[in-house]
Amino acid sequence: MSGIQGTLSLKMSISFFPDEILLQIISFLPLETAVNTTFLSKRWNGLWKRTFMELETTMQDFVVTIADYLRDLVEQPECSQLKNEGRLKLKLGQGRLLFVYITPMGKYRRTLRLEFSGGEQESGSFDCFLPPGLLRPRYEPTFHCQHGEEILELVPQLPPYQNIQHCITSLYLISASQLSSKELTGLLANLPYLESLIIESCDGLRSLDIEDAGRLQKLTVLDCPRLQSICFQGPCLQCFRYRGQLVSFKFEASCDEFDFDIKAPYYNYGTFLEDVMLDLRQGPVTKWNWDVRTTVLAHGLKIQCYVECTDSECFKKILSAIDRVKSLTICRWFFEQTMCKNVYSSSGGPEFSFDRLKELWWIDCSMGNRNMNVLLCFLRHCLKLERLYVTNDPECYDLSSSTDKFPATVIAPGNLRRLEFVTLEGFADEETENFAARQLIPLFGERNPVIKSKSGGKCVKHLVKVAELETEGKYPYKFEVVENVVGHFPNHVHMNL
Amino acid sequence: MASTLKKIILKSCDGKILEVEEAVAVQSQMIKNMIEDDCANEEIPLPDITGEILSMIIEYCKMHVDGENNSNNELIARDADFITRVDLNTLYYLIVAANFLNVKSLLDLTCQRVADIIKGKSPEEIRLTFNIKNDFTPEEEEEIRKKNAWAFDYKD
Repeated sequence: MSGIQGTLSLKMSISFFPDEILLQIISFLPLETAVNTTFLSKRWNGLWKRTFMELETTMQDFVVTIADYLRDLVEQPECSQLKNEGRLKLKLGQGRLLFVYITPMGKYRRTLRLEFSGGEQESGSFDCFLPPGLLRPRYEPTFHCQHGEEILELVPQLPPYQNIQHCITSLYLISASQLSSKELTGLLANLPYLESLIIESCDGLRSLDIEDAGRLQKLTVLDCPRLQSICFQGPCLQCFRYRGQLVSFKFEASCDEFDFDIKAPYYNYGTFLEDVMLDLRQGPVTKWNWDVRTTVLAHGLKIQCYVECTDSECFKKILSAIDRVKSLTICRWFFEQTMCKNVYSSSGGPEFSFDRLKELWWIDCSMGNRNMNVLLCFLRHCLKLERLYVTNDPECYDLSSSTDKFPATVIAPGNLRRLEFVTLEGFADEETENFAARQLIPLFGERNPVIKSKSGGKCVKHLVKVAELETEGKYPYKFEVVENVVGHFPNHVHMNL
Repeated sequence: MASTLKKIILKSCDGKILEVEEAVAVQSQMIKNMIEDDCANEEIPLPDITGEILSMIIEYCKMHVDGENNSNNELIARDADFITRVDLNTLYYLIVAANFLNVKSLLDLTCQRVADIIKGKSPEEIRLTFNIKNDFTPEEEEEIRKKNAWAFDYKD
């Protein structure tokens, strides 16, 4: 049988295959490549979702079923060579389905994603409670100097992963309901290595309470319309992403297990947030407050700082919790109502700065003169900014009365030397778009401004310099649709959520 | 013993006639069903399978019948040797034929081979390899990317 080299004259194509063969092929793929096939074409889109291994179980037993499956993955590594790796479809009775995805993140860590669907919509609301049981990090005391004062930082350190096989470090809960809440609490109690928790579209979720969060570093809560409060207590939080109404937040950055003397007069821990998304364009719930506490327990001595958010001191605290942020999403109204006063000291000096902020997504309901000034004021504190994204969303909540009087003209800071580009989105017409661009051009200083505009997600326009100055020649720029965009303009990291 | 020596006659779409021992032919579930239903006494026309592909499939089935007593690893090695000699276009024809004749192990082997080719490739690379036309609008593509972004959330 030597030399079989496709002497078959007719060109065959994978596109001629019936669905059943494509499904068979996809079922041999590991989850992450299987997902990749969804991008190929309309024909392939969603096909991979039909390649899940199906199991019958019940609402009471699904956690056990998942645990068994996970154990099989660990104990029989050759199973990973089997078909339908990392995807299960559990039938929970009464038409309820649970899609389970397990994806590797590197060698040792795994993501577990639970997506509930089908069945009758339950109207009951529920509280989600993450019980203690997470492994704690160790602390590495480091000193650093700020404004001439020595500050002790207790930076949590996670042990390396070598000894752990297939541990779940990341958990997604999608559309979980009251019925599953009790079992989920049981599941959470058995994931000691959890570092990231993502809760999405849980309609009935009323409160989220995370106690003693161990090594949990990343908390994401998206689109839970009935949520009233989030409590978080733990030492490691680096990333907090939230989309929905402004609800009550209670943060307690606690650190109660270290055995050395606190000699430094100032200390800082638990507030190392690097990634903060507060997409609060839906406005606040009727009653909300923020509560930020820090607790240190050393040699039985408890030092507690506790501030309730009723005054500007509290918002100072929030600011100091996010002053190391690298990626930030914030709405103008929220900034104006809460932190604005503290950022802008009476002396006009830079009392506060976001020294590490690299990408900012600013959301507002309109970008007229006054609102633009608020943004420009904010930008004065972000001198290391690399990418600015401005979204004009008419649906965004606005304050009924403006709390602050802003100067009629605010001059844009001209020293954002690292600024690479600005993206405008959702501007209704050219006039408002041009107005915004005009205000933002000075940010680039002497350099050529790179501003692009996206309207309705469709055409991308770039601000270009007009060769011939228009009449008066005051504004030598206009937006033009550019076919071949030169350069790379990645989305804000929060825009993919 | 007599039944194993019985010959089944297969006719490819390009008119090639192949005589196959029954033990080899029944690797195809379809032919097996025909024999059981007593419909395999005359030549069986196979409208979509060329002689070349048919010979390959028979070779594969023979290999499995002859190798019944061999170790599992040996069979896997032979399978691998068989499949890696096949180019993509031939592979497609093999898949269609294996599917039609219902030779489960060959269908698994060929689909696994396609999966191996897909593995580790980006969507653009997969499209290029398999000549798949991207018929999404940029907006649709963006939407799908957002919906599935979690699967690529973060890696070590």
